Amino acid sequence: MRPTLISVKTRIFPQKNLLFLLLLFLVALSFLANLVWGSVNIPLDFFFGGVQGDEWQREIHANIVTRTRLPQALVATGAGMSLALAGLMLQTLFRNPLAGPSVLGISSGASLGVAFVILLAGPQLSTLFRHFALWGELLVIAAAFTGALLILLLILGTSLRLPGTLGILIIGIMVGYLSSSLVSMLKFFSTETDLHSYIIWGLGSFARLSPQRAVIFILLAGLPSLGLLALGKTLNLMALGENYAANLGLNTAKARIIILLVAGYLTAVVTAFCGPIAFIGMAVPHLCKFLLRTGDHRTLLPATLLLGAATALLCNLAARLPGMDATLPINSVTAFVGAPVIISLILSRRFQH
Amino acid sequence: MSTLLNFNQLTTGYLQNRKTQEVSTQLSALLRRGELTCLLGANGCGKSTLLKSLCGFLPPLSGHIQINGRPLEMLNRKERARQIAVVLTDRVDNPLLTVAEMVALGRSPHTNFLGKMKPADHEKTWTAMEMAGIAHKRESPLNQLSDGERQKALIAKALAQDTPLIVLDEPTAFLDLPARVSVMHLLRKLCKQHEKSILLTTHDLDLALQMADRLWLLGKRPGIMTGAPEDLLLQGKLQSLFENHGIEMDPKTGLFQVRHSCFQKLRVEGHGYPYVLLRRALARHGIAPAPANHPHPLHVKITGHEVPLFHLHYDETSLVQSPSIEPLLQKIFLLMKQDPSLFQDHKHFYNNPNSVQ
Amino acid sequence: MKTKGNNRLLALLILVLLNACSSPARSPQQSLGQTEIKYASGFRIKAITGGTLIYLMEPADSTQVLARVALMEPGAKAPDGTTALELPLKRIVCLSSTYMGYFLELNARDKIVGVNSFRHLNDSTIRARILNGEILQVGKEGHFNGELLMALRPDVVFVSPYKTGGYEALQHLGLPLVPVPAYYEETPLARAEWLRLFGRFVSEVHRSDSLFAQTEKAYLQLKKLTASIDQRPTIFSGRLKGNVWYVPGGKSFYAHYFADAGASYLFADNLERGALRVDFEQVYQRAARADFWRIYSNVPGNYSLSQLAAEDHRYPLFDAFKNGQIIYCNIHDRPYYELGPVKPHWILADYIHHFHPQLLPHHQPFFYQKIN
Repeated sequence: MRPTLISVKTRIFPQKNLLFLLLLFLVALSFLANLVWGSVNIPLDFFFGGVQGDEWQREIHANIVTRTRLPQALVATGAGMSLALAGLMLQTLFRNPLAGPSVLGISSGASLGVAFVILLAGPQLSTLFRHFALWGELLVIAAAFTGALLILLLILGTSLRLPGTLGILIIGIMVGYLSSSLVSMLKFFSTETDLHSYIIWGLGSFARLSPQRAVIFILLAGLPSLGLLALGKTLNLMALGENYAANLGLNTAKARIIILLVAGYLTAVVTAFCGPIAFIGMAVPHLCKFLLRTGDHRTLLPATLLLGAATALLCNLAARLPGMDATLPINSVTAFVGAPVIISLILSRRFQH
Repeated sequence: MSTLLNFNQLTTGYLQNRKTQEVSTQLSALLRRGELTCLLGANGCGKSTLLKSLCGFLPPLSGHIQINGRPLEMLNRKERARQIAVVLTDRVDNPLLTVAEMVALGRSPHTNFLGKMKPADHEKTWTAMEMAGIAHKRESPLNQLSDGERQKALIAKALAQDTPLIVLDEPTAFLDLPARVSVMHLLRKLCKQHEKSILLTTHDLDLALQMADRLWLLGKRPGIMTGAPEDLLLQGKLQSLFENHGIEMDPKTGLFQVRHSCFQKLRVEGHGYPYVLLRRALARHGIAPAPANHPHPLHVKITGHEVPLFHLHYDETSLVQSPSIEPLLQKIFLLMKQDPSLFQDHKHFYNNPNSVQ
Repeated sequence: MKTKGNNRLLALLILVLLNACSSPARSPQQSLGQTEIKYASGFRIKAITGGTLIYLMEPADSTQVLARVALMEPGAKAPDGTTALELPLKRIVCLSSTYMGYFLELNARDKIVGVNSFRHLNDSTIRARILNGEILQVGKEGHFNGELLMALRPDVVFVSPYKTGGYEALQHLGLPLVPVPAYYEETPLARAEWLRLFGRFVSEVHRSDSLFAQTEKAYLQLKKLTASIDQRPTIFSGRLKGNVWYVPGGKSFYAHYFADAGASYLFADNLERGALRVDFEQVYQRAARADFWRIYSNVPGNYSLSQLAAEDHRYPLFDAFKNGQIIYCNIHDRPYYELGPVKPHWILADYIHHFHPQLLPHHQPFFYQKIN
């Protein structure tokens, strides 16, 4: 008795819907955990409308939850979603398991833009900068975005002239190196305070955005991410190889441009608002494939999106828990999580083919 | 049988930095529905280039390709995808994708942007897998398939695409013999029972001669030779392609065989299958059969009907008697070493198939 | 007679006693007595034959000697194991702007021939001398230009011993180095007392001692004003750098000022002398309702609340922000790093003026302004 439908089964959860419910639950749980836990101990009954403690204490707790924990959680969600999706798309496009948002040199371009503003413009344009100080944060965001987009345009232009993806990969990596060395030069000629500011930016953080800016970020990053879920068939075809994809009717040149554009945009937005965040883009897609054991991008895309959000939220939580000793930089935590994930996946027998 | 695809005075090649690089010129041929065509030729003669041009991957430098009466370049991507399906040697880099999922991707030209499959699409996917004989492995991920199974899965995908023409590039390349024969049988079945046109390149000369309805031969000279394999053999066109390469045609079987250089002669009495096998074994070592009236004390006799028995005689003395060839050969080599003059005719000559007793 | 024998015995006794009371026989490099240092623990001064012996102590452990410097009169021999410097010192290199104030206070500008960078130097005479080449810039912290330094032929080079390792690199150049751990003093008066040390180097011993005595008197008078105050406003200090808030410890420099100025420092309970690394939530939890907030500003011109708010969206949550009770020092415009160490009474007066206006109603704040 043959079934009437070709079902998409995943290895762990035969029911696709159950799987997504579980991932959604994981995201919700991580989000709530970010609100409930932090270096200040807020009693749980506060969240259930408890009226213990004086009014002042409750107001402080409310401010802590809504003005610092909530924006962080929102930003982490948006960043995790976007980076994980960008990573999956780039890994499929380049057919390379080590691809990720940083491989295009886009975060390096963003860093270069920010370096210009913080390291170069600071001392030279100190009076001008005083006026900008009001808009200081926005200036950094704009500079990061501009730097990232310039590199993205370069990559897109290259992809139009060079067939295949190896050329783009190499150019992206080389551009990354170039940006880094330019930044090193700028660092050398700058003052200690400016250098410190730049280094802090480079550590990455989900906590920099006010609630309003966090919402803007979610809209700029999250909404397009949701739109990407429609690219399942395109990515499946690209994964077959460009010849097969073209034979099956896909405009591969256009697909390549779209994938680069979208992945690049998402990377640019996240880097502009949060600084460079490493490892989530590279590790989460692998984690997703490992857990789901499927190669169908129509399942992988939404699953990666959810898993990316959950991972970023959990990393944010881990970075804050140390307590009195202040928070760890987010990139340290993502590295601790991401590198072992990749190493263990490669060593795991199931991954070998 | 109607013509599905044809081209006339086609020039294939590449365009690099505004410079054209011609590969093959003056190509004219056609593909009929329900026919299996094999494209043969030495490496570097332009087989892949021609294939890519016919699939629409590479625009021809001059001339037109017509499919179903319409010029190929006028078809948009979707239309082309519904006319030609390909099976290539490219590696599919999605190891966790199941067979069913990959075959379902063959329906892409017929589904919408999101890839939504309708019941008819599911039906066609199933049928394709059954036709290709891979339905029992539909839930297996690609990295758990053998080479032959993977080939069948790719063929199933091309079938699901539901095109009148399927083009395959070296489909038997990495398969073992049973798998190769199996794939070729499948392809023939598709031609005959499902009215598909199939074009494939291959280096497997024997299979091509036995399984193809039509051969296309690409050589270094301009143009392309086409025809049924038997006609090409009768006209000697195939032989001329492989002349001076140590290959020759066996007129009894219509198949090619390797040409050995022979330095010695040995009289063999016998006939039938054991005789043919012994002769091949001796030829491998440079020994040709001598005619029956050859006056030499050393000779071989084959007796027995059901079970053959090989005798090595020196005059009337029996040196070796065995149902297998190998002990005979060992003795012969021993004797050759001890006394090379034992064998007449050190003159170098070729194993002439006509010099059979 | 018997009395004559007793008188003789008495005279002998007196002679012996006198001899015993007189100073012991003089030998070379004999110690002539330690100078009393009231507050500072980072240095000790001892008078010796022919000059002064200076001990500089380790910041981490003030019983360990970091370096010994001998300031000798011309011709006098210095003890072994010391950095020997012959007075008067005419060519001084000062590799940190935090000590410059001592030289300015002692009017020793013309003795300076080299500085590290003049980013934090506000003194106009010094800047003029830099611009016309009389004072050379020899690089920034951690990257001093050894060649330039050597070419200056300095009589003494003052350098901070531990910051970013510039000190180690200089030790191989054969220059007369004097490490100055003044920054590690815990109390304002201790840091100010280093004036007396530098006074020895520039041959202004009495002047430096008396200047310090005046400063000490002024400071203690101000401190007395607030000693009996019961209502102490709460205060916290610092800002976020990335995700970390560097909060001055309970025994830090700032904490002493706050206490002396009649305020209650919200982190006084811990025993750190340096800064603590704390995250935002912890600071906010304690300081949300604080009366005052102390920060510094590095941009020229007036600092405003909106500028502060632009730095982090959470700053407006503090009551001190909402009430505009933020006092800041503009370290770009004000000579905080230069004069701060030698004018602790000015700083204290600023604080008292802001915390308890009724105590110093006519005081014009020099360093700390209220934010607008």
